[in-house]
Amino acid sequence: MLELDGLTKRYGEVVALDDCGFSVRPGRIVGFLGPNGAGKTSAMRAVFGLLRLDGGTVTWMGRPVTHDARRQFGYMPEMRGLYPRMPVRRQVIYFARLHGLDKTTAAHAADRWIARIGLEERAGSRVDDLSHGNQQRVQLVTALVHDPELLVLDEPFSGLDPLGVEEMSRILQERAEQGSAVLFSSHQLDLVEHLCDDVAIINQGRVALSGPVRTLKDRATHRRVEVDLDSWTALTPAIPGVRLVESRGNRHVLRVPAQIGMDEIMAALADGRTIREFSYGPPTLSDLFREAVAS
Amino acid sequence: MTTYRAIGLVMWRELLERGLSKSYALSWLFLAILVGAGIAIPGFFGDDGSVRTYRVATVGAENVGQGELARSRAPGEPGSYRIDLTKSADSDAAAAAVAAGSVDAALVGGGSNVEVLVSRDTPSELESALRQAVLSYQVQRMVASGDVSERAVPIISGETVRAVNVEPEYDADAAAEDRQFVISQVALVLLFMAVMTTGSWVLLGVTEEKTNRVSEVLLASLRPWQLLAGKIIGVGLLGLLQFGSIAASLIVAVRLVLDITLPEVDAGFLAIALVWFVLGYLVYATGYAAVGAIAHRPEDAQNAAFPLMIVTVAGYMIGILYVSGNPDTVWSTVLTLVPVTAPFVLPVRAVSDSVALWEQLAAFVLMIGFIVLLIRVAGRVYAGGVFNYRTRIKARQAYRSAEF
Repeated sequence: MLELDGLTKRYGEVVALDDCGFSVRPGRIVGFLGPNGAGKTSAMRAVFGLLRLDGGTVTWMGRPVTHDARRQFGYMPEMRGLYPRMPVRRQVIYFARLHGLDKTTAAHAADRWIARIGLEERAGSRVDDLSHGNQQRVQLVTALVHDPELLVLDEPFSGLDPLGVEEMSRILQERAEQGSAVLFSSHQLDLVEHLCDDVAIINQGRVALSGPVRTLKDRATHRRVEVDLDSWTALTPAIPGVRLVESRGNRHVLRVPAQIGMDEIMAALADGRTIREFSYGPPTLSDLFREAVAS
Repeated sequence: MTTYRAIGLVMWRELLERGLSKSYALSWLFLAILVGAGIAIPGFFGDDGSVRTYRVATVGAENVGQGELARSRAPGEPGSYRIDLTKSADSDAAAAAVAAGSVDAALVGGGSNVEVLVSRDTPSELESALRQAVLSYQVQRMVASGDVSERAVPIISGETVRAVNVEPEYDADAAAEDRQFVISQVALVLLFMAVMTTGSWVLLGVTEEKTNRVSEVLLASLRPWQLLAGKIIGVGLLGLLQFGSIAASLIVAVRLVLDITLPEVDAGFLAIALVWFVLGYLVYATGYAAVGAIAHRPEDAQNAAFPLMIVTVAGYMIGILYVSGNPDTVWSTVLTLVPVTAPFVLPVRAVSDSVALWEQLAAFVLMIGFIVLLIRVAGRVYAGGVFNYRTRIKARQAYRSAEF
């Protein structure tokens, strides 16, 4: 298990990490969320020793992360980095060998992964001759080629088309099923909600919320109600604690205190109106994120 | 993975990727053309009808007609030359002129007793031509006098003309020293060129890795100094291969095309020159690697490297201009022990045996220590500068802000 505990990092007056802590367990996918500049990249760099921390510790399986341990990790930084003029296959083999694989194993692993992302035909092509999406795939493969125990990906989905997103999601799920711990950051909250077992939401260097997605949603102090009415009149003052979050035509989203049951809110909404569509449930990850960041 | 393996992998990547790149092939081609032109052009101009002129002083030997001398080679043919005769006051003055190099040779005496005064700089073709001309003149004179008797024997056997070296004693050690001096100067020029060329490869290589952001991926599994060391060694080997092959082809071309036999050089001296060539490259390439990390894009790299280029030029100038002429001074000793000047100083001083063994050992130890320290410092500067993508930062600032 990867554990970040009390990470602190300052750049002069700017606080990048402020007692930041969360964990990533083997076999789990953790979504690392936060607004721009919240400290996600700093925390991820700290895992790879690319940051001189002012305080806190990073441990893997209960021990401080050593240089040798890091070679068993896979990393995809936010700023994509490949040798543009180096052919795909040679590049993947090179990174595999940097992670400790011998020549033969590295070559086999490279061929397997290049086939997995459907780039066999382009194995001899220079990276800068590939499309952006394919470069992104190769970048992912350089992080995966040595079957890492821990995979840390900074914004892996940015710039991918829907098919690319689907493919990368599948790969991450496979890695987790095979026992790897997977941590990735993203601003695509719907995707994170769909893909991740756990989340850690960071704001101003501090983890504002973390834990299994399901648990966080169940534990939330409010419920999300989506309703489509034939007409709309002022409703919120009628039920204390209910807040209108969003309105589009006759479709409305309400934030309802958890103690107000579905029947109660439904009855209130139906008063003198016709309900065409109604849903009542835990908040979405976007709701949790907004609340965590706002607080 | 061991440190050696990590460095080796980076080194191999440099060898493979840069060695197979067009830019490397082009730089090789450029050097080959440069060297080829250097060999071919003098020959080309030599065949354009211009004639070499040798100056020969005469003392009482004016009657050895210029006609015989000028006819020794037909003008206009390849390798033709002209001989200008000038009178000299006496044989001492002629010998002094030959020794000083103001004339190429001298003819002294007359009749059946003529000496050809030469120095080790006298071209062998001139000495041979002078001897032939004197003999020819003596035979003609004898035939003209009708006295073809036993006097012809010493003339025909060449006893009546002697080549005399005006330099008091041929000093084999001094000659070897001269040859080594030339080699040391060539070594300095080669080192300077290698540092400037391969240094810029290292510089741009590091900056490009930073610019295309691959550094962060690499540093997740490599330490900064391992990355730099691998890159420096890989690029250095490519440079050595390029300069070595060019030097080898130069030697072959000089022997085959220009028909010049190169002098033998002491193997010990060559070893010293080679060792300091490598050490010099390592010191400067490490500096260029650190500079590459503080530049924020390739276009900025040359500007950032300007101070280091000044140091390189200064080291070279010190070696060529000062130490060559003053190998025994205290300053030369001091400069031998300073790692940035030692590679340009020690080979020059080794030529004249001016450098004591303790100095060589001390300079070597200091140099190795300095390189190890410099690679560590450069690694730290690299760590401080590599994530700075927006502006160039100062080396000191990068060192202090090193994050890992």
